[in-house]
Amino acid sequence: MAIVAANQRFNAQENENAVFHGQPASKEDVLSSRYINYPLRILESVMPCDGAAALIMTRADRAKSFPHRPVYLLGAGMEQSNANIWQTDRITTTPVKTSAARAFQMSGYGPGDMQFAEFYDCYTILVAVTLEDAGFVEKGEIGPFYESTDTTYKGSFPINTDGGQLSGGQPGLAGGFRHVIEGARQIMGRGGGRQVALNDLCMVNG
Amino acid sequence: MTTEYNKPLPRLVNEAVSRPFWDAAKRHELVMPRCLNCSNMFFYPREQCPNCYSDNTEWVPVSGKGRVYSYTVVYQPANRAFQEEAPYIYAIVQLNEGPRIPTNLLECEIDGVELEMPVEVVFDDVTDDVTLVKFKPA
Repeated sequence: MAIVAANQRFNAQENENAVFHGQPASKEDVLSSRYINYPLRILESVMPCDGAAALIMTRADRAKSFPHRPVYLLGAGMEQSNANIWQTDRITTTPVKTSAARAFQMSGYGPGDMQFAEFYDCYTILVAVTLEDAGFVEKGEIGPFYESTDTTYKGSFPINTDGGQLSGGQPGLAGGFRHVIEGARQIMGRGGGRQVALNDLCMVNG
Repeated sequence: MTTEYNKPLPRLVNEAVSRPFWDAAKRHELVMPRCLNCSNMFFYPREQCPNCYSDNTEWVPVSGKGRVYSYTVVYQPANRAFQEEAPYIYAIVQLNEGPRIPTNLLECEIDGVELEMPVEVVFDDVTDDVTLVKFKPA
């Protein structure tokens, strides 16, 4: 889990709007930071901040005449679970299992087709279970995945390329939508210093 | 009994529905709502059975025994009134009868909790009027 936070902190160094821009943190820094709720440490938890998010949605034929490369919504899915986490059938399985399956089915693509991801990350564990429940990683295999995969913007499967909320800050109700913004920005090719190399297919969970 | 309890107390959002739970706790009894239509026992208390939506429910005593379903150790409480007790164990206990209940584990080292660990109910009389339902290793 510490690598989740460290890699996102690396990405945030190329995002001047990130709360923790200019403050890199290594895996060791994460593991030596104090606990908030065991086993989650403070560097695995979001920093609240202010912010807002918006994007322009239009028809595909009109999008072609816009100044930037259009970003197409190929599939979407939604699901919710109990308001109280202790009421869910299985605490280790999130609604992402259903919502991701719906989104993939609509799009005609699968987890193996995705080139990068922008996943909701109030805490490191949520990125981990999202990767598992969306089908990128077998259940329980998230540790080996992070140890063997470079998830920085330079890596083979970039995740939360702007630092995510963990390093960018959690702007209240814009917290989920900011992931959509970064995914769209990367596909447009407007990622600046943190632009990913392969930017055609992205999965977002907000 | 603690004579000076200065932490927040439960605020009953639907007193008509949940009062029997707190009254029983004060008597050092643990009770759960059960559906008279489908026999489903559930928690938290609410007006309708979450399984079949019947509003025909009753309160029944339970054993007070269960197992740790999940837990965390709270080092930084969301409410600072509880900071003096940190680190403490916040647990979800699954009762032998089925329902889960969020609670605290008492009389347990913070590194001594294990999933599925057997626990039993403890009644914490925090004020003359309010008793909190907590658990300890069985």
